[in-house]
Amino acid sequence: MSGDHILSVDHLSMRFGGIVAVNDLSFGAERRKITALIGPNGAGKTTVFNCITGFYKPTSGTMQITHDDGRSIQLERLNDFRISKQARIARTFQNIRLFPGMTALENLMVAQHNALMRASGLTFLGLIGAPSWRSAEKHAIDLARTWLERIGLLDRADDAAGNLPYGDQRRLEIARAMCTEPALLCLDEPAAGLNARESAGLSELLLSIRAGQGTSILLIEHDMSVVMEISDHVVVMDYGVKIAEGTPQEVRDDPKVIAAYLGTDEEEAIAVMESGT
Amino acid sequence: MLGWGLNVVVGLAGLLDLGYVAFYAVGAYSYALLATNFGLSFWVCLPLAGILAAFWGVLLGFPVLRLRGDYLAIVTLAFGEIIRLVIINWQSLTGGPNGVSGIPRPTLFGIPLTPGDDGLAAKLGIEFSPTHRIVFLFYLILALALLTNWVTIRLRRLPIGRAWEALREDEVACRALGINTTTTKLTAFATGAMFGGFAGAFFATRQGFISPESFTFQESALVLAIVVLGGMGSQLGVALAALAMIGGFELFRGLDQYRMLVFGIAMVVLMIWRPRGLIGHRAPTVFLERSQAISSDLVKEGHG
Repeated sequence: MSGDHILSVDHLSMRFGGIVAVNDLSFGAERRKITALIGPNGAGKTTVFNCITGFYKPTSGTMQITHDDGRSIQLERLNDFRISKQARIARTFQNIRLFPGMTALENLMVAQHNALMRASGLTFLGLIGAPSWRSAEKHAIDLARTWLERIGLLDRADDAAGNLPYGDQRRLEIARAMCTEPALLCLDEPAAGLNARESAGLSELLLSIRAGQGTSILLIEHDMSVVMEISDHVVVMDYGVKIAEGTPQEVRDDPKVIAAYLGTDEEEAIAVMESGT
Repeated sequence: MLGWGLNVVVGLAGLLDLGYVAFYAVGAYSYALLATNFGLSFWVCLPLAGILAAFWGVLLGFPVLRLRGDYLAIVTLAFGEIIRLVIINWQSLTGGPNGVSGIPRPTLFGIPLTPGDDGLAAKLGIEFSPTHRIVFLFYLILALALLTNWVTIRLRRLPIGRAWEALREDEVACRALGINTTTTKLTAFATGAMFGGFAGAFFATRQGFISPESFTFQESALVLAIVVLGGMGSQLGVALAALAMIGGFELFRGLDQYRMLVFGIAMVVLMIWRPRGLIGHRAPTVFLERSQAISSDLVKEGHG
């Protein structure tokens, strides 16, 4: 592996009892690039995500994030909320997890919790309405407004998030993750349940995030049109191991990948394995 | 005021607390004991009572907040009972079932409301009347209640309040956004406990006498009923509910043993017609164009 990696995963394994969900997986995500993690259902992609974002503690292996200033953090030593706070990794969920009873704007404000907590002097300055707090709050609303505009939801800012259409909720969740100002954005199937037009809009949004904010993106996706269009690098997993990686074109033509996705009868599989090695 | 305090815990943060009366008791006893043993005045003790109650809130919160839903409710219920039993049995400090009597009355900036020469009435040159003290106490509790309300409204618009509500909505998402869920829950618990402590101190000074009998589970249940009836998270709803509960209690006093029956029926009817309380919808804490209420169907109740 070469290049400037923001995230490197080394020999990551995750076992649940007797089941090996991820087995000795190593890969890297390049800085300011979009890396896609693909594979058939049950390949262990979401487990990898949960390890990276601190929801699971991996059985073995290391994960390291290197920030622009050269500072490195070992992710397996941090737990849940510190991943987002200190390592600056944000994520979205396969099944959307917005705060449905709060407005779109409030959702984006909650995402800026840590910055706002500092600004509000751990609540005390905010309670007396100090000017520094007021300006910080205004700044936070402006940031939220910018994101709402980018995802085209400015006119629905004051609507409850639970009332928004599915596609809008997906985009709002991405915007919420971006409001934590992450270095690495992890998206778990952002295009799931979107129609072709919405998927195209999503691709555009992700490309603009990479270009505008310089955020590195790691995504799990089943929608190949999205993966092929926007990824710079693709990692393919099956049964918890990496079976291929490369540019979208390389991966698309890799017989092992085709075999994993389409399935093969035994003879064909052997032929594929032989031709692959 | 108790209702508003508990509203922070149950309504906003979605943590079901059945032992709220414990903090009420802590507040009342800390004022009573500090005042009778050390002669500290009401105005010194009021913040102290709040701080002590908040301290107990944190102490209880640390081990307990990793529990969720029903389990949390049971442990808080037990905590309420433990505090009561400790008060009954720790005779040397709390006087056990006899309670603490002779608790000093509050003063107006050091001027006691007594018939003596140095009393407020004498200073103002008007005739002394015991009604003055009742009026004074009324304004005092009104001020405390308004303070609670004001602080809660402010807190909701601050990041901490928003985090409480977000926690009620989806805890996993909160963690993904870098919110420390443990400290956030603890602050909710401590804030609620602090208001409970204030209310307790006021209760002690108003009665002049407190005993463990005032702090039974009955009280916890009543306060929780007020919060649920009012609509969880709604300040106005809680105020209305408190009025309805306490007012209703007095109104139907003439019905004697049927009073609780009327009450029960009223509650059942209400739960059918307005399952999310009198004011079930939620007002957003911040808005761009216009503030519109959010239907209660979308707002989660939280489960620990």
